[in-house]
Amino acid sequence: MENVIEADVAVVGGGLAGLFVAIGAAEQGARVVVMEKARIERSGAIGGGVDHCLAYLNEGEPWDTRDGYLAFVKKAAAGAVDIAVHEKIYCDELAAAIKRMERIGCPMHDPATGTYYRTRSFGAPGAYWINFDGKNLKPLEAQEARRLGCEVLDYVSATKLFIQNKRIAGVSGYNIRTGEFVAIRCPAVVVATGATNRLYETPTGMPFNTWLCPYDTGAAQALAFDAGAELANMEYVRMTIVPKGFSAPGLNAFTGEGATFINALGEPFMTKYHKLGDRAPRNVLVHACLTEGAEGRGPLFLDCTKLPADNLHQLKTTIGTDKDTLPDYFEQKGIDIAEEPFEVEVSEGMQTGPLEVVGSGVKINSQCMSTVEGLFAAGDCADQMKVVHLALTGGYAAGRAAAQYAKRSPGDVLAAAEVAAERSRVLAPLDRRSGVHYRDIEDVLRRIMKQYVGPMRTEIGLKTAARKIERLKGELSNLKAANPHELVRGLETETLVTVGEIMAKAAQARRESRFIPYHYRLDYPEQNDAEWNGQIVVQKSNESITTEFRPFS
Amino acid sequence: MADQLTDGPQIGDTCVGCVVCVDLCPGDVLRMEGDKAVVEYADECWWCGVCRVECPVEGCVQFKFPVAMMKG
Repeated sequence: MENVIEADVAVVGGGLAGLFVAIGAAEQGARVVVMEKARIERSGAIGGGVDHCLAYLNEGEPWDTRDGYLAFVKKAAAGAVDIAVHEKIYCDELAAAIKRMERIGCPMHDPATGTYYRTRSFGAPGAYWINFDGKNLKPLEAQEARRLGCEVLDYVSATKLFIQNKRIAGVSGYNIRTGEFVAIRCPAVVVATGATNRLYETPTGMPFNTWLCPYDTGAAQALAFDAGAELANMEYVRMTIVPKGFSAPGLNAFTGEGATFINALGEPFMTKYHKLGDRAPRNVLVHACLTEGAEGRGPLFLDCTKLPADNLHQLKTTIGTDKDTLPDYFEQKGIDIAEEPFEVEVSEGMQTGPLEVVGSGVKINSQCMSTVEGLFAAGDCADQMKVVHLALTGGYAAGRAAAQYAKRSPGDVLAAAEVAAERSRVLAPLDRRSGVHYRDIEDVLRRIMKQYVGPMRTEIGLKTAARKIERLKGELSNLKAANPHELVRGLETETLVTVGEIMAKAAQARRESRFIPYHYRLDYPEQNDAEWNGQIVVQKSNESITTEFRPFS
Repeated sequence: MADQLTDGPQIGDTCVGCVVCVDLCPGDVLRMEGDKAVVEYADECWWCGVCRVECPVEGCVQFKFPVAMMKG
């Protein structure tokens, strides 16, 4: 067999979480290989920079403690968060993670004063968000992973997880630049490929104009599912509020600094929906905007014009840290946020955790292991991790746990015939003379997801979606790719279709509403904690998708 | 769609051919054409700005947003 690399821990996805996985595993002495479809220095959701991280810091207030924070999480994320796992992978790791950021050269405090710039938003009881300069976090993290001796396979997109004797035997990948196919034999794989962001039709109709990284296409969720792992929290369709015309991050910064939503009557309206008003949880903000629009009070705007000078200054000077081109966009559109309210809209949907403190995807235990032995998950693709703070803490914890597991597991045989069959499967679209372009399949999928698996759902609509996706799947065997770049896009299409189908099935199973509008069943419009305080767990069984409700013990 | 083929990151004439933007673009949308970087898949751009952040030549990379984003 050619191109087989031996490792202790393979990390699939070299984004923010994946590289902390690699660092955590390498510090345990493991031989680590990172598989990343771009270049680890600037890849993933925050390759272009990030500006906020959630943390309690014990600076005096009751909310600013471990207990205060956990009380908030328990209440806010009921039905989705496994609090014992959360304590282990976040609370137990937080202090070390903050120090690690400083050590790799990206401190979250102001180096001159030692203080943290903190803001409050999204339903939090206090200022949990640290605003920091993470413009170069990714290259600094990559430098540390390389310094520790991690082998990095840049430009390699993972295609399959191999199982032998019910445990992980390895993983294969395809090089987007050279067209080479590679396999890694290893006892432990940590998947860390993020959320599924290119799955729903966008407001502009441009599929790559998404709030979060459009190259995150649910690879971990789909590959782990195919390998037999359980997934959870997959029913939630997350949305946010973005500047009209540009799906860009920034809502946290705007509301954290005190911006106000106003409707077409010029009236602030968020206090009608939540006592925290513009600082309500994100799902409430989205629900309010959808409702105002549906009731004819759109267009909607964010008003920063009444902000104190300091807050306005902070906003104007840091808004490009998170999204580098947002200042260009405002400038070219003639928007000055200090002068007049700017129009906003609800973004496209995506598969990712319903709140900032809980994820969606591969179901993990407190060791970050999935239900498949040797398969771990970290970052946005894990059901108990989410965004920056859990990538920093849980990512590192997953790497450490995977390395410790690898030390006591011999691994298993990577069957040459299976690898060869996978290689043929992956390369087939390059040889087809006629067939379907990836984009044609994706565009149909995105419309189905928006129409039937969006913020308003019914059993009939969800069943309709599942049937349509089932039929659409047949087209995947006709995928045609002109070159390695298009072939990787086609691999992404495959995982998008898998994730879409799983979401439609998971959403059917939850016969109540929760985190409205992220799971808003018009046929079961109320939240029902007595019966539904737990997760919908999804698994592959006899080539079909099974769902099961599982309460938290 | 037509505008998207020409809009997106704009690599200027001052490009020195260092290949950094081509190597680091997370979407693999850039290519070298001779000794200059060009945008091959403009409609797959996420507007993350990495090409500009990493470009060694001040002002070489600029962004032009398509009509769909600017006028809607």
